[in-house]
Amino acid sequence: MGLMIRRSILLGGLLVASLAWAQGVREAGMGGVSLPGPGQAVANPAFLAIEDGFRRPGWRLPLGALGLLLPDRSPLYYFTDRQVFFDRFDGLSFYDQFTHLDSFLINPETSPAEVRIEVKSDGVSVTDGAGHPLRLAYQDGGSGGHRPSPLLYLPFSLGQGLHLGLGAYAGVEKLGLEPDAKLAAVLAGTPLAANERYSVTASAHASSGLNLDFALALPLPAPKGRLYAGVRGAAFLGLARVDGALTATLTTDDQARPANSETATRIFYSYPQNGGLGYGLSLDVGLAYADEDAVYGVGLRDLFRYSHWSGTEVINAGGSQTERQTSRTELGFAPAVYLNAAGHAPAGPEKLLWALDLGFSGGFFGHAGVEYPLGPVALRGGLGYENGLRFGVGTGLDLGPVALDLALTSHTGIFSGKQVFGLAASVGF
Amino acid sequence: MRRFLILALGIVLAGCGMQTRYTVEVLGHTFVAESDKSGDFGAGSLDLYLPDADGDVTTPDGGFLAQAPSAVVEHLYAAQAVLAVDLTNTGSTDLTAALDFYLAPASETGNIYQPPYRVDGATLVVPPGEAGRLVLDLRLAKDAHRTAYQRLKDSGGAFRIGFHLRLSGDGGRYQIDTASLALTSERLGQILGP
Repeated sequence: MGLMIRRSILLGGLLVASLAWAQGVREAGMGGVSLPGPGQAVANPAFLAIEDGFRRPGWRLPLGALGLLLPDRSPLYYFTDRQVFFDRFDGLSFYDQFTHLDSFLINPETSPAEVRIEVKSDGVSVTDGAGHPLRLAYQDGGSGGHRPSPLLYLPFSLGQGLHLGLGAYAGVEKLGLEPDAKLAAVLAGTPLAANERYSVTASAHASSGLNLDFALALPLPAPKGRLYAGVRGAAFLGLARVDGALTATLTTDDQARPANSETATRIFYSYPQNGGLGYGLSLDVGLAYADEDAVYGVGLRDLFRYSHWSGTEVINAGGSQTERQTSRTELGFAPAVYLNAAGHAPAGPEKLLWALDLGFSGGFFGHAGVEYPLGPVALRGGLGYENGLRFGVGTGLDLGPVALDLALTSHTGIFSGKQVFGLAASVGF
Repeated sequence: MRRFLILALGIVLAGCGMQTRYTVEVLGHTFVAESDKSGDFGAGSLDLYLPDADGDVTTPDGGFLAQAPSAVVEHLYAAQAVLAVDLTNTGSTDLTAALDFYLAPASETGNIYQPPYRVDGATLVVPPGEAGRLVLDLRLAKDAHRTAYQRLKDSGGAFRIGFHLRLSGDGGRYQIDTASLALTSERLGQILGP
């Protein structure tokens, strides 16, 4: 396939993904909270059976994908203008924008201008050159190793409560930096020991592919209100995957002085051109309850999970490189738990929309948000926690035939811990 | 495509930008035994070779074997050695102090304190009854210290360093305060670039 075609497909995919991002601008403006309904069926299949009382029509403008065209965040320059790539590209800015495609990041995380490693007899410190310590232990990937949520998801009702879902996914499942226990102690102030090895490992897992889901969502008898249950078998066909780990090791001599340092990398990658392929199946279940004022849901994603990938493993260690064809199989029970609720409550002349969600997927997350209408304008705000604090404020404008939604969002940068701000917008007709 | 994949993943894993430089700084004075860091001396002269490698701080030896990441020294942008000694003259004549910095290949295990390995130095004269601070703040320059600079770049990351402090007078006290070496790489884009 020609390079231009591949680039066009990649860019087109990002644009479509950005347009169809599962979470709307309305929710982004409410602190990232999720509103119950078919739009959240990926997390809770029971939502396929309920009416979508919170849906606000609109097309998200692809601001996040546009952000990926900037030289500091775009790896595409490697293919089009290498000088620009080697002058401007920033791995952290790219990662930050890529994992927040739902908005254009105003101040994405940037790598430090200097990484300063100071070695002394009573320990090792790593700073940004201005004396600020760098975070040497973090984990990112709200999915906690679960397959990324679909970028594009198209549910079809087959009748009798049966649903078919088609989608595509691409994303980072996990990114982490982890010192071993001995290095963690040294970074906390313990002196270096004699004849010891200290290591830190950076690892990342990313994948992309196609989704094919079959779900059954039906009403259940309930004494009051409406109760729904859903179950889904989610299959995927993996098109690309990369797992990488980089380990740096420091060895001390018999007087506890740094005597040697070495790095080793282990990369597993899979894509069709190297004969790679992935496939798998998972099982999701959920319940939803609705009354006149509110909707509540509980979902368990990946209640059961099986995946298999074939590809190539490349190991660089001790100055030599080995490469082999291999495969990776995962089988297990590691569900992501997802609870949410939303409803309307009287507040003055209008009704306030409130929403809450809470879950566990590798780590705890939760959000709370509100929306209040003032004539043609809706004001929104909310707070959340996902690997750090986030907030959102937004507005919705009904301008006759055009509806406009705007949101200012924030999240906590995984590396620097700073607040990163983003803009999201959608237009409806 | 594979090179790009590995390159891009490496950059993300390392949390790097193309503008990022890497500095490794060894605070050598923290590895000097407390008993060697300070002392009194009487009339005559005293030679100190630090850090000590042969059990006798007054005799030349192989110095300190430093191990820096090879990528940093191969793509060296800057190197800085800072040495500082506090001196007090308790005698009745001037105290003369000379401080010299040495950098030798890792293979020089016997004596790095030879003229070919001397990089630079500083001197200070302290009048009787006074105190002074002898500082050598050496920024290793490609032109001014061509031989040492090239020796560092060719070292593959392993090299030997040490400093020689020579004191002359009829009585005084010394206190070694700082002995550090910092190596800074070119920015990542220049290391990886086309």
